[in-house]
Amino acid sequence: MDKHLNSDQIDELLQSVADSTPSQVANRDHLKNARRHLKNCVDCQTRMREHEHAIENLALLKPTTPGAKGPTCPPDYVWLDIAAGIFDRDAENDLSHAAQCDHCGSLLRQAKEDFAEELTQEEETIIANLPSSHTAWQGRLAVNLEDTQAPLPVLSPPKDRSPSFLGSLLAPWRLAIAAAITGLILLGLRDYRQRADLLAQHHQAVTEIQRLQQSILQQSRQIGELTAGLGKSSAPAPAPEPQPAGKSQMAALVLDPGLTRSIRSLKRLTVPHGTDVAKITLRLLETPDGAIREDLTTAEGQKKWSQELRPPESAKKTNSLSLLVPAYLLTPNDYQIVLSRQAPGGFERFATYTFRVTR
Amino acid sequence: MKSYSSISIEELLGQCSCSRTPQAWEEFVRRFHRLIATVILRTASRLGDSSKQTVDDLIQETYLKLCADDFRILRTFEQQHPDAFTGYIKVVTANVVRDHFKSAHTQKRGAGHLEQIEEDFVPIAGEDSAGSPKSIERAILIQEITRHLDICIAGPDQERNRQIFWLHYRAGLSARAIADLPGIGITTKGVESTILRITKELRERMAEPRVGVHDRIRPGPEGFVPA
Repeated sequence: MDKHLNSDQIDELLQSVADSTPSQVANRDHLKNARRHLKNCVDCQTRMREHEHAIENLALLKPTTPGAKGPTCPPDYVWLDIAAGIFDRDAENDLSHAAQCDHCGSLLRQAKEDFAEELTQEEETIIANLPSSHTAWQGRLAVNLEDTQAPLPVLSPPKDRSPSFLGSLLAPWRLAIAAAITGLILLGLRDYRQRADLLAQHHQAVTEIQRLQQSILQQSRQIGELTAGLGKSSAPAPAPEPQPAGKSQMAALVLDPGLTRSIRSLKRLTVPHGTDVAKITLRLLETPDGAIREDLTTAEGQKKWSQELRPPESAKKTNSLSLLVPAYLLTPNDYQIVLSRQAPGGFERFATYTFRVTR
Repeated sequence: MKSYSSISIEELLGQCSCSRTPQAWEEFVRRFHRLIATVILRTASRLGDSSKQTVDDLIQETYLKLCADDFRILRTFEQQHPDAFTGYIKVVTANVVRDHFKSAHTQKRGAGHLEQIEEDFVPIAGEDSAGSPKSIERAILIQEITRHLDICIAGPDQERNRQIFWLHYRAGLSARAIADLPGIGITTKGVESTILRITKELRERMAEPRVGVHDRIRPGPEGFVPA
């Protein structure tokens, strides 16, 4: 091969270096001849080096750090919109700017990379392993989202009413009187219901205290029987899985940590009249080894109930903790349960659960 | 019973924001959960924390944002083209992640807290900062390439091809990302072949030996300088 390499051959040689895929047989022979010539030709070696240098220079066009924002740069949100396919009339001008600006070009590239829909194998695995990718989590979310607010009332036009009748019904003074009467009735009803609620709560509280006293006596007897003959241990025993005593009526609720962080999507616990105790099962992301403190507070921050215990063995197996809360404490309101674990400096919070109590 | 899997996006958004049945939300989650998770994972990873807990928290935050203000985002959305909602949800999600990290950063640094610096403090210039030898070299290189490029891309699609070249080499966009942009108007293959063609021509121009005037003008066989 006497002729110098032409630009196509140089191109092929450069690509063969960059591209590791096996080439076709005819192309392989062609490349072999070109390489043989290159080995013996100083001129072609120089040209080849110049081409390689040009490629290196093109690679230097990409900035190593994002440039500083300039006075003519559009606002940063523009690049999110463009990358997401939301274009306005300035989009083409913005794009011309991004092509010449290190700051905006880099923001556009980042946004495009973040929004690309193809996933790498690693991303696939991470997303598949997220708790939120499981059907159960998504089902609970769908229910929470559906429950965020009461459905909007559908207003239908009144039937069989003439416009004049409707007009007279909507006269301002009549509306004002009707509103005042309705307000008085509602106030009276609320007062009556509040009094009835308080009486019922008082009755429940007395019953609950009596039952708890009996339960304490019974447990003390059992402890006495069990410890008779055994040495005393200073280590606190793990708390048994709480069970409601006797034939009490129970309300139940399962809560996830952090799932209902907004007041809009609270899980509801309905506590009908006559309920003695509420069993609240808290799903745990982790089960600490030491003691746990459970605090029940209202949305206003008023502490309603608190206890410290070592989680039972079953909590570790099921990744959940069940609490039995006397129902009289759970008046209609929004509540928060905070779990804290023992740390060197005292208790530190590790999970929060929120819910709403309705009657 | 209504099948939600086949309803249009407008209808689904209407069902989610007005009738609010769990089935409608299940379908919404089925269609968009993966997209939301992907955008969060990538953005959070770039901003420094893509732990499972953070990603899941931000996923919930995104859904709450969609429900905020009586589902305003879903109610006010207007579908202008088939992929419009996909784009819209990408932007909403990215903003949730950015806001989260911005707020976390502010809390970490202390909102309203001013840091005092020494009077004679002189910040060390970065290797790539404006005025550094590296940035001057790069500016010269950009000028040189611009000059060659003007010759290489001469023709009817000059502006478009110039944009493709710089978006690829300077902004670092892939051919596919460029093909999706407004005003480009060609497929990914088209962008790829444009980049290849311009690169080859440019490389040849840049590789041309830089010769002096005397080397270029050689006397003819009769002692005359060729015209």
